[in-house]
Amino acid sequence: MRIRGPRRHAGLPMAAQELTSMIDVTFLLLVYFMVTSVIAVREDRLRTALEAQGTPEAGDQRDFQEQVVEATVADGRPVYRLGGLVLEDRGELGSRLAQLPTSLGLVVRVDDRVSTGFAVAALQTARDAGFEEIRYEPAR
Amino acid sequence: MPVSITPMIDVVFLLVIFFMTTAKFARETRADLDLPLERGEQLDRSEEQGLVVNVLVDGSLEVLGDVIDEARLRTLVLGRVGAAGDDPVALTVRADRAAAAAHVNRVVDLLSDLGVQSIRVATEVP
Repeated sequence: MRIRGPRRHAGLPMAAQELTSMIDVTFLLLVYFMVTSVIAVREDRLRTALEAQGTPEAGDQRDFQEQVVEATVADGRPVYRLGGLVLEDRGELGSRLAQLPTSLGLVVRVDDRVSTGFAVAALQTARDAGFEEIRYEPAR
Repeated sequence: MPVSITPMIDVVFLLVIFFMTTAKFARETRADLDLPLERGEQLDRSEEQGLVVNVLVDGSLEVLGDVIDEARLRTLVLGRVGAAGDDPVALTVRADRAAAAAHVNRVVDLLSDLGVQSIRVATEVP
C-alpha cells in the first residue's frame, strides 16, 4: 500500500509555505523599526555654564572682567547688544565676537522677551567664534 | 539534512522587540517640539543626556512624558544633584525655538538656585 506524504508545492512542504509569509512579515517589521530609528531627527547640543550662586565673584565685578552679549529687544525687534553696538544680524555678531579674546569667556544675557531660537543662536555664534567658556544668564 | 529555521525566527522576533522598545524609550524622553536649528558642538563623543527637561512653546515643562510644575522639577533636580554628589549633574534642556526665553530663563534660574553649574541646550542639526 502506497502511503502518500504531505502535499508539496513547487518542491516545498506545506508547513514551510505557511511559514514563509510569517517570515516575510517579520522581516518587514524589523526593517521598519530599524529604518524609523535611523530617520529620527538628529539632535546635537550646546554646553553652557550657569550663573554660580553664592560665589564671591557674583555681581558687577564679574561683569567688568567678562565679556557680555545681550540678546534683547530694541524698537520692537530682537537684537544683540555687544558693548555699545546694536547688532541685528548674527553674522555681524559672529565677526565682532571673533575679534574678542576667547580666553576671558563670554556671558550671554538673555531678555525674557526674545525667542529661545534667537538666544540659542547667540550661544552657537559664540561657540563658532571660538569661545569655550560660555555662560547663559537670564537678564534681570 | 533539513535546516531548522526556528532559532532564526526567534532571533528576528527578539530584534523586532528590541527596536520597538528602544524607539518607545526615545519617544518618552523627547517631547515633540521644534528645537533651535543649530549645528551644536558636533562632538564625536557621546555624552550622557541625564535628566531631559522639555520646555514647550507655551512654557509648560515636560519630563519623561509627564507635564510637571516647577515644584516637581525642583524635586527631580534635587534628587539628581544629591545622587551626583561632587560630580557634575548631567542635564539637558530641550526648548522649542518659538518659546519665549522667559520660560527657559525660569528653568535656568531654578537650576542655578539648586546648584546646577552647567546644562546642555539641545539643538536640531539643520
